[in-house]
Amino acid sequence: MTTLSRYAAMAFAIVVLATFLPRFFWQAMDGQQERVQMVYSSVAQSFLFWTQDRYGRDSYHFETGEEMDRRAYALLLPFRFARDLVRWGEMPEQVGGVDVNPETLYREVQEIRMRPRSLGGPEIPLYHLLEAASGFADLEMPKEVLRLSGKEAVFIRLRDGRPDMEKSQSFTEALERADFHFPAKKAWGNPTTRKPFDWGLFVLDARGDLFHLMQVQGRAVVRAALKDFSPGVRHVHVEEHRGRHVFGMLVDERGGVYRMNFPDYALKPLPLKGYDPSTMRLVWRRDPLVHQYTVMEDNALTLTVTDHGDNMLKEKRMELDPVRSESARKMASFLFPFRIFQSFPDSGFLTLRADVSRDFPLVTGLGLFSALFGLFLWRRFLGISWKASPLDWLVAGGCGFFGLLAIIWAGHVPARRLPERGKA
Amino acid sequence: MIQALIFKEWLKLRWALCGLLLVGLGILGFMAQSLMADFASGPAVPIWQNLVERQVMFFSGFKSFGILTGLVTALVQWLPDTPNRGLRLQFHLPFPQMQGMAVMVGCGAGLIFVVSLSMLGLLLLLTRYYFPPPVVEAVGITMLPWLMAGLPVYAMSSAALVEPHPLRKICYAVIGWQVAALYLEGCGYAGFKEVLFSYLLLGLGLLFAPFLPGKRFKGEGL
Repeated sequence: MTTLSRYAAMAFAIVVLATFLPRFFWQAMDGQQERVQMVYSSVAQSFLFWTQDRYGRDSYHFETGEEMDRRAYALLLPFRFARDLVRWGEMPEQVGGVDVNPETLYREVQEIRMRPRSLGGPEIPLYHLLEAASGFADLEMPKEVLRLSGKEAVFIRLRDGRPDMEKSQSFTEALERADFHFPAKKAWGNPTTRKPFDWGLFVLDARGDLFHLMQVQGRAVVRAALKDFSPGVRHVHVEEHRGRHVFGMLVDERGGVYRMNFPDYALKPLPLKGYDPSTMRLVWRRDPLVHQYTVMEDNALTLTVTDHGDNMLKEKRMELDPVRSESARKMASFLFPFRIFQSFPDSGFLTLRADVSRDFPLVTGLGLFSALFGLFLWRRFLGISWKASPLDWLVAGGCGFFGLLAIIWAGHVPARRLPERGKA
Repeated sequence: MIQALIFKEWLKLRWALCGLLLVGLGILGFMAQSLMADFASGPAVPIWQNLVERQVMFFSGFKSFGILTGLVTALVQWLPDTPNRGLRLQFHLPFPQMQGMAVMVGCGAGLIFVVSLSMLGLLLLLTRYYFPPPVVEAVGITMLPWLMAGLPVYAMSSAALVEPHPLRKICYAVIGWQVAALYLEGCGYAGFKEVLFSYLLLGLGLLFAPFLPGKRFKGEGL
């Protein structure tokens, strides 16, 4: 029992050390990165940069490095700073041969941002399905929530928590008529009243087909959006925009990302190579002339510019100064052969996973060897036989300094009787 | 002998049990009153928006209850026996020492389970009164790791109290606190859904921790 107790204590010490020590280490050692924004100017037909240093000082410059002031920067980006240009009376009538009408420009410019964490996370499977055609100017939050995770659609009234049987039955029938199979696996929407109109929910049915469900004057409007989509749908980012260019973005189970076009739900793969939605952030920006896709990695920024037919016009990749210096990464590899994480980069769910250090394998090996040597010295100092508790060698050899610290803290079994004072 | 040991532990732990149940009932009562006032005072839409969209947890008052349960149980159980070396007398009874220790740890863990499960059951009843089953399920899965945090806190506080070496005492306390932090990690509803069983095993495994300090407490130089 004592041996079991010792190894249990050691195991938890290792879990705690491998979770928190690297976290504290990187809190102390992480450097600061300049904030950089790379954009494409259709006026200058080149890339422009805005940077903010660690002291909050802004600077604006061309691809060539030539600096400019903020006003000049805004003048080169009329779709981004349209309100400023209109205020200054500097809005051009045409850009790149396309007429620009400041009053309708808001319909032409759209921006969608996607983060890895938004791809999945814990939620209560109850959805607010807004009324899409109430006849009033403003949207209102509904007075019931929709449950689709059972054998039928159930509207639960918020005031008393009871189902609205009549409405539930009408929606269940509408969904079944559209060949929807209960229970729904997942549903995505944009449940806010701060938008010009409502596109309802995109619902993934039990067979993996995607349906578009809207509430129009209290009745269900259901359309099959994607049938027999072989990679499977992982996430749908729904965004209502006055221009009604796209329903949003769709991410498949293999990491492919598509624009879901309005009104036919046609999927257009994004013209991006090497974009991984599980680890990288994406900003898609559409203006009257081009599409700009900005992919943000830890230490790099890539901007791809295409025309509206998704033909690539320009692309630029910019390496950023690494947040973590090489010496700090080497030190981390020496001290921490692995880290334990409680979270996933692309999900809000929690776990407990070990991530083995692969940065500098030789340095990691040296660290493990040093831990073994440390254990040898400690045992020699205390006069413990090297044959005692042979599992300790495995712990130190496999867990490095985490294991060594845990062994020293837990003490040694069986007992080494210390000589009584005075008799030694 | 086992029955006698259990009775001894019962004498120590009964007031802790009553106190913890009372504190838990107090938190529940406050929660019930708040929910009732919220539903009575205006439209239900914002309450549901907070619950479903913004993931504001009306039962967040229970977040530290597991830690409180573990800490109080450990203090009530081990504090009377350790400063004046009363535990050593038990170790000299004609009964296997570690078995006696196991009975004590089992009693402490049992109290944590009783208190936690009672509170969980009552909270789920309260939730069911106001909300439909998907909310009840999400509340249950969210609450479980908070309550399970009582196990590492109990195990490591017990080990820290029994451990005679001051530096190791501090290490036990720090490790217990940090393991508990793993259970309280912020996430949305039911973030632990896929790993609840693993975390339960982790907590149960930690219950072995006080045995080695027990051996040291007896005076066996380990």
